[in-house]
Amino acid sequence: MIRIGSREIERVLIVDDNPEARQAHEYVIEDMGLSPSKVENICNGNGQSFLDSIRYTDAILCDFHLKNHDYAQYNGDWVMRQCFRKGILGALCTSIQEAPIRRDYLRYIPGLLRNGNPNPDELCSALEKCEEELVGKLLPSRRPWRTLVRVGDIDREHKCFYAVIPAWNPQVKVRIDFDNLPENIRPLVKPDHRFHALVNTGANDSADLYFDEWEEK
Amino acid sequence: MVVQAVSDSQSTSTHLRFSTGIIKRLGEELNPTLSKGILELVKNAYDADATQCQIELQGVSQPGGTIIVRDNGAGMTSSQIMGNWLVLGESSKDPSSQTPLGRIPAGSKGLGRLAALRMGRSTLLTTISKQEQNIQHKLPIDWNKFDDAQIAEEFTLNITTGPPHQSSIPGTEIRINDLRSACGRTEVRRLARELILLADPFENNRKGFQPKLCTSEFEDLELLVQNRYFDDAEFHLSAEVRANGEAFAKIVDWRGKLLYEAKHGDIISKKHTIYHCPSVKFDLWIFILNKDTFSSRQSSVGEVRHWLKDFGGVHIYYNDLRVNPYGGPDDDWLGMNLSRVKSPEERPGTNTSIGRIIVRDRQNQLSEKTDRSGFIENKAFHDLRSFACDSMDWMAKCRLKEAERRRQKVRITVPKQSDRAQQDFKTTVANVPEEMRVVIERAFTSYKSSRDREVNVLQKEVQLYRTLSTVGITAATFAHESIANPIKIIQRSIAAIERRAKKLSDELFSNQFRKPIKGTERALNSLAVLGDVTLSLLDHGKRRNTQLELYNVLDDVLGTFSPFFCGADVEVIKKLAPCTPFLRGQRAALESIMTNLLNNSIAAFEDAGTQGRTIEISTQIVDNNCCLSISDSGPGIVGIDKSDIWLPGHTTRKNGTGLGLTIVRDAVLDLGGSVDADEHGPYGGAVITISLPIIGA
Repeated sequence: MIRIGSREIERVLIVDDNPEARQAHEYVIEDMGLSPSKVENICNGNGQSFLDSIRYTDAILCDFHLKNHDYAQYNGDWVMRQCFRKGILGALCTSIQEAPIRRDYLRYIPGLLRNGNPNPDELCSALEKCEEELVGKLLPSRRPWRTLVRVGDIDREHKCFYAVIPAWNPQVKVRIDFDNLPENIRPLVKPDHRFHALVNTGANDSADLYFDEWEEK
Repeated sequence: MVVQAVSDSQSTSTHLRFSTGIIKRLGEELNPTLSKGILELVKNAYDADATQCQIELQGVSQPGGTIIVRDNGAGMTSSQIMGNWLVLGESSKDPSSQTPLGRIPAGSKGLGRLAALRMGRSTLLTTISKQEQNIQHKLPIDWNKFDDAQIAEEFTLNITTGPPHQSSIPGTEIRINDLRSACGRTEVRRLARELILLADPFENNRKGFQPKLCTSEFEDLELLVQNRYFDDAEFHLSAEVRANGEAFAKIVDWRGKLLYEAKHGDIISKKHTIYHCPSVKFDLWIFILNKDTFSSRQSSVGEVRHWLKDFGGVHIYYNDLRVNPYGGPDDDWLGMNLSRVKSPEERPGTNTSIGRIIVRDRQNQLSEKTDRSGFIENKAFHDLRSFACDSMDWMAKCRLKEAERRRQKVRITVPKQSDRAQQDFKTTVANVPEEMRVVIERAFTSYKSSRDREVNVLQKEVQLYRTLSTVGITAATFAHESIANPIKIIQRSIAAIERRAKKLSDELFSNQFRKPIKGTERALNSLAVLGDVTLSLLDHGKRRNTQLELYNVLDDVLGTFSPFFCGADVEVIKKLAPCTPFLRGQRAALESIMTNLLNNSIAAFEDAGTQGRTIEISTQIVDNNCCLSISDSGPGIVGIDKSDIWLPGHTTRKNGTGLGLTIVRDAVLDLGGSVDADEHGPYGGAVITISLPIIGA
């Protein structure tokens, strides 16, 4: 058992669509002195039964890609957001540098492990970040600010557009996929159109920027 | 101060009142242009069942001019003037019921009308109602007096009623006098265009409504619009959304022959099931504007191009009247031009097509914005746009298939044509005198053999590109799979072995496990880099034109290569000019240049077994160019002429593709630069120098 903030962590759930990868994650958790348990399938329905089952776990280690096998109908970013909203600690693991994590979900994923191969210390640190944000302590790079987002180019072929966030870096255009936007905002996206959104303008890298609570300016 | 006590509760009636200032601002801010304002008045004429509506502009090139809008509609009684025309913000027009001529009222709330009327300093309304043809009503409005009043109710208007002055034909005339500002030729031309397009001039049955602007600009445009070039369109897409939300579409060619037909499932994109919009009919005529296509048509390419320039784009006709700005100049609400840039062969643009979407909406699913800048972007409008885009996507797919079929056909017919031509040639030569025949045949044989060689080279090149494409696709699949699964699992398992061995005994780990584990980790890292590099090359975002920081791209590429440099004992020396040069272009192009040059150096070291492997990367800023040199300590350019290294397929390496430097040359040219090579540089090996135009440093 380990202690993170005021929580005692004992049971850690492993969510990965590859059985071998689940097994490999188990080693990390065992080496932390914790009890791993593996989720064999979360494919059925809307994931509600899975979400019901996670109530009894202390933390979750989840891979980003869950749809390669007949395992889940959504990716790990969705799982992480659900966990965060339920107050469960979670760490999301991805080995692909440019994994298409939804920018609206990223706000709820403080424990992001981009090297894909976490050791016990890294996993522990990710869970600590998650706990901090759950109790309202946000790092400057993760703090949301309501800010202006200006639409630059639109790439309809790839269903995305490139936006400028002057409060973050006026020189850089950030890719945002249309499906990361609320449905009522999507049709309003036109070149030079301006929106307000919650953005972590202290982020160092454009890949770490999240966008949430969009409003037309 | 004396305060009186109130013994019983009292009530006093009062009203909300509006200052004249707010009404003035409302009207002016919502309809800022002349054409928008006048269109509102013309729409009123349409709602009044007018068949004719004449707009006269008198002395409008200077302030102080007059605009007269005259229609032969139903006119108004005095109670209609007071109860409807003078009431702002409420419309008596019910879109679910039709006028006696079967028109659905445009349903203006009167704000646009207010703005139009206020364009002058005074306005005179003259009207004769169909119901009382022997009575004429006149209502003068002096806007200066209105502005002097503090609240709207203080401003009194008087309707004068009497016998008709000239004729007793029903209708309404609005005279806007003493215009506040001048109206230039551009604005008049815009107004003329809007009036012509207002009531679907492309339809044979025009609902009997023809607004007319009395100017020469209008007549020119009217003549132009009457030249209906639809029969010259190469394709005609005709699509519909029916009342049940299902779509269907068909494409016919210029002779009217049916080419393709689609059912709902062929058109709709996966995210929709049905279109939640009113019933819609979409027609799009696509022109191929070249001389070959028009050689068999009655009109010329120039005429059609001119026509499309003025009227091209997809217009929306909502309950029979056009809605701005859709299909207007510079409006590309369906993103047609962007799609055309990406796929010019199959996609129409706003200058090569004309279209209209006819919407009959009795349930008010769509509603126009108050400032007349289009529809409110609700679900119904979103689905309407999706339907139009989906229909065009379907058409593009059909045309792509058609183009592919044509290519296949050409591939089969060209060799046959070539054989026939050869046979014709032989027959012709057979008739030539014998002494000449021998000479011609010899020359032809020589020509044929060099041409065959050329074809052979091209065929090999095409095959090489195909092979490389296949290699690329396969590498990407393997990269994704290996990073996602086996590499990840091996890395995690090795890390677990390391942790557990250390836990058992640090000494045992150091003596027995450290070396093999670290060796495995290094190998895995190299493998993972291979995958990362392959996948990162595929990132389509890198093929966008954007501002690029040269050093930033260079550092990323060197970072990617670092495990290879480490594994091959290559030392990289950077001597960069102390600045931050940046240019505009595609990141993929810059990466291709650097990746291919570094690959070449590594391959040269390997082939020659070079001892002391060094790559130097240096930059210099000269005028507005950044010169980037990559020199290495390899064998240099040997065994091949320096000028041949850029040619595709030329290589000295066994199994080399000979495409690396061709790609470098083409990518540099794409970035507007130049490239040169030296056989031997300061380190003994080749030097490639690239000069790229920069926009700053």
